[in-house]
Amino acid sequence: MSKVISIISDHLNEKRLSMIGFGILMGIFGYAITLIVDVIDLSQIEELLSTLPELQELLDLFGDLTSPYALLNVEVFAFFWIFLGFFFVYVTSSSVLPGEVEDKTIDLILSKPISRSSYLMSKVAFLYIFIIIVQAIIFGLIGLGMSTSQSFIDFGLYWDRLLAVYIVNIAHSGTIVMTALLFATITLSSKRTMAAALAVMFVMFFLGTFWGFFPEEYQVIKYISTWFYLNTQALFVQGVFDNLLRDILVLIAVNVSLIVSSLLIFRRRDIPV
Amino acid sequence: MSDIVISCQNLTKYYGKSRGIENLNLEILKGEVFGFLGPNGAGKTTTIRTLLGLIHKTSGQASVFGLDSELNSVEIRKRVAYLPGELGEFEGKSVRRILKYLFGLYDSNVKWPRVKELASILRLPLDRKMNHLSKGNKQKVGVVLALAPDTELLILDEPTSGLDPLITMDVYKLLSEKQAESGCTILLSSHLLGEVEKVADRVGIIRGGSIAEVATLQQLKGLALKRVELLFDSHIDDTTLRTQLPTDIIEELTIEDSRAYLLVNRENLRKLLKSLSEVKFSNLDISSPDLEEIFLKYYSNDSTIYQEDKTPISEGL
Repeated sequence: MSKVISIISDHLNEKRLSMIGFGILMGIFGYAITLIVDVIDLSQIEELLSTLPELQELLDLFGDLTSPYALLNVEVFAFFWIFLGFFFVYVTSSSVLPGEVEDKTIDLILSKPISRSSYLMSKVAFLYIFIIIVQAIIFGLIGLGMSTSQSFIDFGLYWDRLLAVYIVNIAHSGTIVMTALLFATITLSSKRTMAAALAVMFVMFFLGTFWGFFPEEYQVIKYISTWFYLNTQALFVQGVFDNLLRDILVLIAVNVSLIVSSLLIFRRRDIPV
Repeated sequence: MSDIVISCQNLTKYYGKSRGIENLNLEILKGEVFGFLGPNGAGKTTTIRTLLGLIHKTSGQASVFGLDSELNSVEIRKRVAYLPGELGEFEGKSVRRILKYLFGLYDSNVKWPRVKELASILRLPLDRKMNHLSKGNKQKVGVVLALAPDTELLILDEPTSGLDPLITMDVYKLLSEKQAESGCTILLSSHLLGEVEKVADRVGIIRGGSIAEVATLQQLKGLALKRVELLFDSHIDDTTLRTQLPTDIIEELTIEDSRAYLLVNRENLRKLLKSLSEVKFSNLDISSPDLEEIFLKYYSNDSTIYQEDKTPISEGL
């Protein structure tokens, strides 16, 4: 166990600046949106949209835009997975196996008395801690913005909604990162890992977001997309938690199956020189 | 308890269709320093990496301390210190941090005063970033990694690569001291015959993925050749030169225009130099041929020649 902790702390130490820096950057972005909400007249948006029914139909994907929660959801939660996704995939491909294979340090590390399973699990633990901390900083700053925004205060501060989005985002980011980990164990190349993981990420986003535009008989495909289980509109805008447990359990199951697959592949892999 | 520390029986590793090692048989005894010699691409590193479980064998058996190299890999690595041929970059990390991180992966604590002592002997700056170190200093990090832990087996893949001669001497001195103090077994892989013979009790010569010969240090001396290059002012006549030289002690003689290249056993060098007093050359250069050249001399690819050429070595042993 001490070896696993040693690897985790070494990685956290190495990535601390990017972890905190990125978290603060994204958090400030979210904080700024909460401030902007105060200066926007939401009733004017409602009026404008009523004159543009086609735009209204498209934006219905994000729900009612006349509450500060809806605006924050549209401006932040609906899109920030792109930035988070790129960043997490980059961190995974650079700090997990491909980085060590490309730096040629893997031989030295795996020649020490640590099993491949423990080694990979230490990477998995590091990645989860990493995404938990980054998003804690982001959500912390968003929460700070909400607590100082008159619009949110007037509408009501629903911390349970923010917490639910945070939890489901952790589980969802976990699937992005663990997909990258799986490709990392298969390819042992950072470029191929990034390309494959990002391709899967965008396909999943497309299927899980735009399934409603598919013919009815194909709409069942939504269930295979992890984005289908990232319903921030229901959680944050509407405060509906009916599917929260299901979504979290499905995302955890996806995480677990990706980790197990990675472990099975890595145990059989030859480590290249 | 068995005296055999490393045992390979018909060990074979293929990378797809490419041969790594094939039917390699090897036994290394407890407490010995075993030199693992072979030209580049012969299969030295593949053998070592298979023993450490870094790659999976295609067929055959490999065991260390009587434990299967794949099934008991972690148990084996608890008792082994390894210096790979290439240490890697460890971008942006100081030597101290790298050493602490890697020593932290052993079950028992590696004594830090010992690490400092080794670093001091090798003149290794602990607080310098790894990627700012010269190749030689990087190699010193690997030497510290191999020598500091209390392990029963040291596996060193080209340990003095990139080191200057003085530090190379220090490394071999440290190795000998460590072996004398702890009685550990050392597997020393190299393509430099001259270096291995300084410390090895026995050597295994690997070529084309299989062990070509296992010899003692005494036998190894038969392989100790010197290359002598003679430069003349003008074109030298082949027949004339051959009559002036003691051809019975010359292993190989090549004459090209105004140059002559000779291969002689080290023990016959003095005799050759005496006979050269009669030869009017303008320059003379003596060097150690690399292992590749020695292999070409003794181990031709052709199996028939291989058998024939092998005989003189054994006879001369």
